[in-house]
Amino acid sequence: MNRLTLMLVLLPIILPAKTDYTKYTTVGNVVLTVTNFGMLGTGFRIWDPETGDPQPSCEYPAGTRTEHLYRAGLWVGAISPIGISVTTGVSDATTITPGSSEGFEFYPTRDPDDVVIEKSILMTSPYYAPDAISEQDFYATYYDTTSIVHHTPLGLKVHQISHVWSYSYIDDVVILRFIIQNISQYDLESLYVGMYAELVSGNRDFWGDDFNTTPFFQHKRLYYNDTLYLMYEHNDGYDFMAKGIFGISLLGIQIDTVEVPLDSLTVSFNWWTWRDMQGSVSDSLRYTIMTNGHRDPDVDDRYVIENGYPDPIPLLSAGPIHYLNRGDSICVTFAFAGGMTEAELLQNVGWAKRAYESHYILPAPPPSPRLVAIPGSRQVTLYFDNSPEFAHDPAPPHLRDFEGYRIYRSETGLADPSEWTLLHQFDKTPADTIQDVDHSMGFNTGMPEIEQEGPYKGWYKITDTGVKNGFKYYYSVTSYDVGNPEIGLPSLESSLRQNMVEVIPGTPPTSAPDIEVGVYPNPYKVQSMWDTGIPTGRVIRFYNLPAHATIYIYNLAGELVKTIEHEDESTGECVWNLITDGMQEAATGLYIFCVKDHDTGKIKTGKFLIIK
Amino acid sequence: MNGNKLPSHIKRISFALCVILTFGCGRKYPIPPESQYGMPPEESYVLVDEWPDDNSYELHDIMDVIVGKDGFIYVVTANNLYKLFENGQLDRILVTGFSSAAAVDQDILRHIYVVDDEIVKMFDRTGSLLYSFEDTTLVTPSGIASDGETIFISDMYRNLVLSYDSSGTIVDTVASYGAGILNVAAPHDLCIWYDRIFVVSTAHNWVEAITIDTPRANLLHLGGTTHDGDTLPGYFINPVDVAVDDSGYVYVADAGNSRIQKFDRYGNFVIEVELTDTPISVACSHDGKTLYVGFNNRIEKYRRPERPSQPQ
Repeated sequence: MNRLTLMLVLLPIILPAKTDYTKYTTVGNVVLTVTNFGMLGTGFRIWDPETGDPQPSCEYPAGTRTEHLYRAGLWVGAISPIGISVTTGVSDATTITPGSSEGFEFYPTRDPDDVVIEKSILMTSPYYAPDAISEQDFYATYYDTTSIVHHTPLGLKVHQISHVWSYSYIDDVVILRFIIQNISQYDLESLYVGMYAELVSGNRDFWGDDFNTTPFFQHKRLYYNDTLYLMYEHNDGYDFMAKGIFGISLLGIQIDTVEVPLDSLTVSFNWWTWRDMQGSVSDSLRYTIMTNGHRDPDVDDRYVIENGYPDPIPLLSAGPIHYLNRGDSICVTFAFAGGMTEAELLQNVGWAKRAYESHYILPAPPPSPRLVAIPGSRQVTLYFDNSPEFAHDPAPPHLRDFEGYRIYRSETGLADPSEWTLLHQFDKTPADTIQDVDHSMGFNTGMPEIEQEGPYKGWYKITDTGVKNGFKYYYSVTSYDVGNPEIGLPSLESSLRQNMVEVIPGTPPTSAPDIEVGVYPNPYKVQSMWDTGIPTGRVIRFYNLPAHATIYIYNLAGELVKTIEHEDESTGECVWNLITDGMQEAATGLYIFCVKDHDTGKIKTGKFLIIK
Repeated sequence: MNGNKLPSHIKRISFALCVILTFGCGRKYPIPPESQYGMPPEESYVLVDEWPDDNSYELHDIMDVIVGKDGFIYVVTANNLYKLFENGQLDRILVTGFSSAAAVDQDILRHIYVVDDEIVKMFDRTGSLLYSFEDTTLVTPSGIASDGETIFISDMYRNLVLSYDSSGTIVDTVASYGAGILNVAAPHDLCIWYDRIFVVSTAHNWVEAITIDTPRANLLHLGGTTHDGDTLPGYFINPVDVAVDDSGYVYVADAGNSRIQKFDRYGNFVIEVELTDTPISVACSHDGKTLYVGFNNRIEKYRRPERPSQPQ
C-alpha cells in the first residue's frame, strides 16, 4: 500500500466528527440546548466563548436562570442478527463530548456543514424556510454506525427535529421528534425506544454559575404520571429560587406515519442511582431495563424520609416495535415541558399532545399588517393595511378570528416586551361585517381612521406626535385574535418584531426660499442627546434641507473641512459625525456651511459652533 | 485463462451476452449501484467460526443455508428450520416436522418459503404457517426462490425449473432439460437478485442467470461452455448452490472442487475459498464480508478482513 492509499484509508479515522452544541432554543419559555450527537442539554459544562457566561442547558422559565436538566439523550434497543444491542445518546457520565467517555454512541458525519440547522416559519426571521414547522426548528442528523469500545452499532440514522413556538398556550413546550431509520444490513426486531434524562433543578443565582462544584443535584423530587407518560421533577424547596416544574412526556410513536397506540405498548418508567449505569454496563442489562414494564416509585418527600435520597436517574421507554426492516424508519416524539405548578405542567403537556395530534397545525395569531412609517417634524405617521382581518386561523375550523390591532413604539427595537410602549389599541365591534367569531370582547373601539388619498389610500392611518426630531424610533403594529375560551385558548397576538419599522422623525425636505437651513444642537457642547455612544457616534443634524443638495462646511480660516451629499426625498435632515474629510475630529470653533440646492441652484448659508 | 486470444465461439457467446446485458429484457428491478468501495482488491476469506459449537442445538442433514432479507441466518435440515444469529447462537427453531425439506428462501416481505418433498410452505418470520400448496408432479425438488409474487422451484430429477403463483398454479417453465442456454441438467439451488434468477445446473457444471420477466433470456453464464467441468478457477465440478450479495457478487458452492468461488456481477472470477470438505450450501451476508458454508451437519463461517467503519 503506498503512502497516498494509506492516507485515504486512514482519513476517516483521523478526521474528527463535527460536533455542534452551540444551538439552543430562544423562542418561547424553555431554553434548551440541542446538539448533533444525540445529547440534549449541556451538562452545565458549556460556556459562551465570547461572554464567558454559562450556556443554558434547559432554562425554564426563560430568563429566571433556573435550570431543569443536566442532560438527556435518546436510547434505542433492539435484537438484530448480531444479538441484543442498545444504543445510548448519553448515559451516566460527567463529560459531554463524544468519545470522552462511554455512553456517547451517536455521531454526526465528518462533513463540516453537518451541524444543527435552524429554520423558521416567520418570514421576518433570517432562518425563514417554507418547509419549517414552527417558529424555531432545529434539525440535526446523527448515526449509530461506528464501532466503539463496548458498543455494537445497531446501524441507525437518527434525524432529530425540535419545534418551539412563542404562542402563549404552548410557549412552555419544546417538541422533539426523532426519526429513526434502520440503515444497517439487518432487520431489527423487538425494538424499544427511550429517553434518558437527568432532570434536576437549581437556580444559578442560588448556587453560582458552576453547578458541578455544588451539591445541588441532591435536592430533587421525581414523579411519573402514567396517563400522560410523563416523568417530571421539581426542587425539594432547599433552593427557594428554583422556579417551576419540568418534565418529559412521550407523545407518540409512528411507523410509516401510522400511529402506534401507546397503550398497546409496554411503557416503562425506571430510575436508578447515579453511576449505576456508568461504564461498561452490558447492553443486555440495558435492554432488560428498557423492556421490563416497571413503574418505579415516585421519589417524593415520603420516599426520601423512608429510604434516604437515591439521586435518581430516570429512563422513560416504550416498545416493542416488532420489526424495523432494513431501510424502514419510525418516528418517536417527546415533549419537554414546564409549568409553574403541577396543574400547569399537565395542561402544557396536554397542549403538546394536541399539537402532536394536529400535526403541528396550531391555532396562531393573525399576521401583522403591512406597515409603513413616514417621518415628519416631531411626528411619525403610520400607515398599515387591513389584510390580517381576512386571515383564516391555520387550525380547524379555520375561522377569521381577527379581533384588533395594537400599535407599539420602542426606542431600542429589542424583542423584550418591556422595551415597547403600547400607544393605541383598536378592536372590532359586534357589528363588524366578518362574523366568523364574536367580536364583543375588548373595548369595541372600532378601527382607526382610513387614509383617503395618496399612495396609502385605503390603509389605516395613525399619527404619533410624542416624538423628538433626530431620535431613532421603532414601531410595530400587531394583530390579535379572539382566542377560544372553550378550550382554554387565550387571545393570541402576532410578534412585535414581525413588521417592525425604524424611523427618525425630522423636518421634511424643502426648497422654499424663505425657510432657513439649520443645525441642532447649536452650539454642540462636548456631547448631545443624539450621540450614539460610539467614537464616531457624536453628531450634529442639519434640518430643512432640500431633497437633493450638497452641504459644504468651512472653518473660520475658510478651509473646506467636509462635503456631504444629501439625496433623500423622505427627509430634510442629515447628520454629520464631526469627522472631517481628512479623517480628523472637528476642532472647537465656529463653522460656516453652504447648502447648494441641486433642484433650484440656490445656495443657503448658516453657521454653527462646536465646543469640546 | 489467457485472455489475449479467445476462441471464436466464446467471442460469439460473449457478444450475445453483451447485447442482452446492454439492451435488457424487461428488467423488473433496477440494478443496484456498485458497491461504495467500487471493485476493491479482494482479500481471501478466512475461517473464523464453526457451528454448532456447543450443545445448545444440533444440525443434522443440512439441506440449505441462506442469509435472509432480514439478515438472520436460516438453516433448513431435512426435518427442521432454524433461525440463527450471526455468531451462530440459536435464536429459535422456527419450524419442526418436515418430512424431507430441501431448500429455503425469504422474500422481500420477509416471508419464508420451504419446499418439503412435494409441498411448498410459506411461513411468516415467527414460523407461523401462512399457506401451502402441493404439486404432486415434483419428484426431487432441490431449490426454491421467491420475489414476493412468483415462486420458483427446481426439480433435479425432472431437470426443470418451474414458476408458480401463490395458489400453486404453474405459471411457466423457466428452464428445461437440454444442452444450451436456458437448459438445465440436474438443477440444484436457486437464488433471486433483482431482475434475475440464478440457477445452478449441476450436471452442466455451470450457473446461469435468467431473467425473471418473460420472455426469458440468459443474462450471465458462469463456468465453462462445455459440460465437462474443470478444476481451474472459474470452472466448476458439480456446483450445488449459489448466493448473491447486495453489490452483485456471486458465490458458488463448487462441491466437486471443495471450494467456494466468487465472481463479480459481470461474471469475472474474483477469488476462491478452499474448503476441507464438500459443501452442500453457501450463503453470504448482504455486504459480502461473511460467507456461511453448510456441510452435512455443521456450518463454517468465513470473514474478509475488516475495513475501518465510518458514519455515512
